[in-house]
Amino acid sequence: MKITRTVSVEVWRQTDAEAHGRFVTYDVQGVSPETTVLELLDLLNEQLPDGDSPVTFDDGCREGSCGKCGVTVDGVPHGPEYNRASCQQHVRAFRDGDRVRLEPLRASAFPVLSDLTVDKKKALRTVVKASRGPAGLKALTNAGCISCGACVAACPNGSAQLFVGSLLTELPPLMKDDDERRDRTAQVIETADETFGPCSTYGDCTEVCPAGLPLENLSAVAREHLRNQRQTK
Amino acid sequence: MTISDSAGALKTADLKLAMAASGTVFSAFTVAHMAGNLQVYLGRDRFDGYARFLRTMGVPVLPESTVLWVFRSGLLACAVTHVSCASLLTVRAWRAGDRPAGGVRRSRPRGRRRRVWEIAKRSMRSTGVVLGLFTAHHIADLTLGVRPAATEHAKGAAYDNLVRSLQRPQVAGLYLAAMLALAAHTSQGIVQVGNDTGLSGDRRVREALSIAGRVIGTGVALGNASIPLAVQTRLVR
Ligand code: SF4
Ligand code: FES
Repeated sequence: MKITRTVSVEVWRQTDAEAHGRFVTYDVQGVSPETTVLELLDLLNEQLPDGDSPVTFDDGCREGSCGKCGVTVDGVPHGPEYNRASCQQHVRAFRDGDRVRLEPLRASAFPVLSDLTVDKKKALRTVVKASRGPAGLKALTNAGCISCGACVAACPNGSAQLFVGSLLTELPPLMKDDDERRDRTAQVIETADETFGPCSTYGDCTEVCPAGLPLENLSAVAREHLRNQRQTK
Repeated sequence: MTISDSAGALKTADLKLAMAASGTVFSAFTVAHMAGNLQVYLGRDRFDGYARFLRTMGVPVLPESTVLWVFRSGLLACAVTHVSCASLLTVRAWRAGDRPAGGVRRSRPRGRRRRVWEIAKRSMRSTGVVLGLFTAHHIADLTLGVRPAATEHAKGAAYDNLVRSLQRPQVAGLYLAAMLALAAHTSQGIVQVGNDTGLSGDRRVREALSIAGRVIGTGVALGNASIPLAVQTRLVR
């Protein structure tokens, strides 16, 4: 028989993008150590008091590969287990087994749409679009990035350097010539500048990144920037 | 949501490069400055002789203190660059960070980052401010010799001025606190230089820089910190 217990879940409720949100605490029954964060939210929605609207959250493959999910668990984007997406985070890793706080991924670039749902695609996509064409997406795939946005949310500066740097690490080999490389990397860096903050090499991003992308990728931004300057002179 | 500001024409990557360049100058300066400081252990004559050497570099080709002032101007320019770029970047970081609506603060991550270096590396602004204030006091005390930073100050008597200054427990305490800030700031600063110049794209370089930062930061801090301790314990007097 599975041993289950009740967990008190403090969850961010916000009716729409304009509304002011607040934390509401619910007791969720039937939770086991293997329950994942998204399953915990499913249980919560099943047990909501009559009249309460279900808690909305981003959901996808639940296999850690699509990058759609992502909530902040006790202040850590995705959750306490290192380098795992929210759908792969388990209750057993919670700091406190009886209580947990769930809120949306937090970053200026990611507006909250409702409850735990954020619009992270838009901001991330502007950067990929700046690399024009499918090369940007291909570069991210080659890097292993699933565009989950956790790196931005983990960063106290709201920097997307791990995402941008990973893209720039893999972009050059996909370019047909040097002009194209110069042009597109410059566009990517400029676009990222407009939306995201500066990198202070704290490394919080690499603790949460489900793809386990390394700190070295951060430097690709400076490398391409310097390279572009050398060549335009 | 866009975070660009009125200085938006200044690219983040360029501000970072300016900080890396000026920061590297400061790191080199702290090493040289410490090497100079340690001559206090060789006695009054050597130390005062070193102070005289700094003033008379380039003499007789150049007037006295010319070279010294060239160095000072360079350092001042670095300080202005470093602080202004840091301010611009700080504003960008705060704007992009997060400000959830409704006055709710971002929850602090629980169960993460408890090691000393982890705390040091996210304290660049506070350690930077401590270093700036300390430097202002330090110059007023030992270079200019003005009150209230300095008490008794005799021109040209570098050794006596230093010893007399550090005999004051508050000054020795301030000095030690500043050295803690220096160790923290340098260790992360050198990591940051690697990242902002693209050098850290290579894992071995990144790891080497991270070790170098800690070695240089703590090395300079310990070397310097030994002096107020030596004065307080009357080993140097
Ligand atoms: S770099 Fe890692 S954390 Fe950032 S979006 Fe890609 S997979 Fe997510
Ligand atoms: S739902 Fe696809 S990665 Fe979590």
